[in-house]
Amino acid sequence: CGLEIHTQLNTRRKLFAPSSYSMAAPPNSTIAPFDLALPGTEPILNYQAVYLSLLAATALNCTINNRSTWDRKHYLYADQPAGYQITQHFAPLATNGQLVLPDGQSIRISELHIEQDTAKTTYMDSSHANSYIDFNRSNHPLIEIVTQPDFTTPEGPAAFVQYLQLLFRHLGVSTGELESGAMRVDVNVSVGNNPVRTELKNISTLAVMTAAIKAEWARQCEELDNGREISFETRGFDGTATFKLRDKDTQSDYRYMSDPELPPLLFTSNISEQIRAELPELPMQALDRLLNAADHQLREKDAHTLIAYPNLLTYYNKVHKEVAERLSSQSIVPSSPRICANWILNSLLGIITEHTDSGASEAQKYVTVEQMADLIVSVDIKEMTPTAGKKVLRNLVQNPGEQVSIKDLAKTLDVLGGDDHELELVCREAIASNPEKAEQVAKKPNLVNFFIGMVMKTTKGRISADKIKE
Amino acid sequence: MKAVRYFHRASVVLRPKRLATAGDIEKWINSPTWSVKSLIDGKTELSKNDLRRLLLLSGLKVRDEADFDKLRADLEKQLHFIEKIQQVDAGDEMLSSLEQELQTPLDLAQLKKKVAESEEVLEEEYENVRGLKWEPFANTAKVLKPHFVITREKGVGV
Repeated sequence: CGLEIHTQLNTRRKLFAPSSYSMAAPPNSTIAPFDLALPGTEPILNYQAVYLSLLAATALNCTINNRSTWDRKHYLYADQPAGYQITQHFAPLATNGQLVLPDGQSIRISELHIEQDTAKTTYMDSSHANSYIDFNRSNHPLIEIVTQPDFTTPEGPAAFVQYLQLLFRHLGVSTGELESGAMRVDVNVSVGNNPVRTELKNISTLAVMTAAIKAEWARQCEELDNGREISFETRGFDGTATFKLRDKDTQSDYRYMSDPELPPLLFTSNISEQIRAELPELPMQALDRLLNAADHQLREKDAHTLIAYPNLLTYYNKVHKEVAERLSSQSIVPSSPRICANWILNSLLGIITEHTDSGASEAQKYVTVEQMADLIVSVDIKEMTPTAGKKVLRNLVQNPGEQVSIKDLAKTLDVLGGDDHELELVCREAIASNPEKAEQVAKKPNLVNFFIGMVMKTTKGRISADKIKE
Repeated sequence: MKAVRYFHRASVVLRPKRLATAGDIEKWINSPTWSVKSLIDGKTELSKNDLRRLLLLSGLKVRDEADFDKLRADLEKQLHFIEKIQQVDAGDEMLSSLEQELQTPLDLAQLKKKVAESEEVLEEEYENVRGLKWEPFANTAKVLKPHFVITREKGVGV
């Protein structure tokens, strides 16, 4: 099977008008006259959409066409006020791409083009006699990606979409969310060499996608086994089986024509190389670095967590760099290449989850890069115990936005290690209060751990076990 | 006569070598080489089924059979006229845009500049629209705020 994927771009404004799209805005509150196709309005191209589309095309290894055009696709529907959608039919932005998935499977991309999104239609009753239209979404830029029918398993499309979502988040092109409609996937399914395919629409999640493909494949097999033909149609999925929505429109019914109000997009032949040179680190590149580079060597689970959240990965990279520089300036080798990952993923995220409703992407909201680096370095050079470090982190998370240094906060919380005099006093007290055990230490050396535990409890974790043992 | 292509037109204009005097110009203007009437001397057939399909796709209705037949006759003349126009040699490449040949291909730096420029233009347009204090629902017959309401008519559109 093959996919047609529509993805909303992360642009500030719509494709051909100054209005913006926000899911949270009240209906019909973020619209310009052009979004309603009012007579006399004309399109003004938002080049940010073109730039983001080129980023996506380059990351998908497409050939960027030197000349691409804008075309009108005519059809009548309540969510299309102009009676046509502006798209790129005759000469799309990019063609002949390829995406290699983490499992090594390669999927060919036929084309990537830019087009307008439609308005949102809702119905208040089952008769659908009246359509209630919200034009907030109308004219928001989409990219449509069409793959070749390279998928050979029902699970393949979901894996592709999942990786595409990750890629677009890393590029800043789109959120790629299926649930909110930022990404919408239509699946074309055919069995064997049958040239006739059906299109599955209204797929809300990756799990639904896989189930729908399996159900449609089973239906087509049964139809063909019973000597019946497959119709070229659009179908939905009710959770168990697919059902017919409508016959698929043929291309000629759209009466494509060049849009006379929009000149073509012309690019130099080297624009693809220029964009590639500026692409941020892509997910697979980041994964390889986190797993295999000598100064990271993360566990697989941790590496995958970081690349799943681009903001968190950026935060981690900055903290890691800061820590490396500070330790290096003191000619100190980090105790482990994983210290930053351990503190961020295990300690910080755990505390954030415990005390807030925030997600993994919002680490910087609670602890700045400088504060995190300070803390990690302090613990690594044993100025602070890990227990003390966690107390400091907890305080920062519970008081977000506080511009305080880690050392000052540690003093305020009284979690910094005591001096040698204090340590000696506490040790003598522990020994004096347990004379029998103290006498047995010579015969049972492990009993020293009992005294270490007592001292740590008395000093509330301010002094590390190693120091006490010394 | 020399065929000259003007970059701001998608048609070929025949211009005499010398239009030196007002008399030359007047003579030239009053010597048309073609007329619309001469190009609709026939018709190109449009089947009834095709016309019904076009009406459905366009969301249009006709009053009665007589109206349908008149529309069909008019369209057949227009199709014939268009076919004659299409026979004019306008070169190999179809000009689809008025600005096509005046544009410079963009590299990345120029594209980024265009991004910034288009943001300025759109910001200005945004202020213009705000200044209009326009009411989106003002020209709409049927509304259930905050939504526009479209009632489906049988046989028209989807």
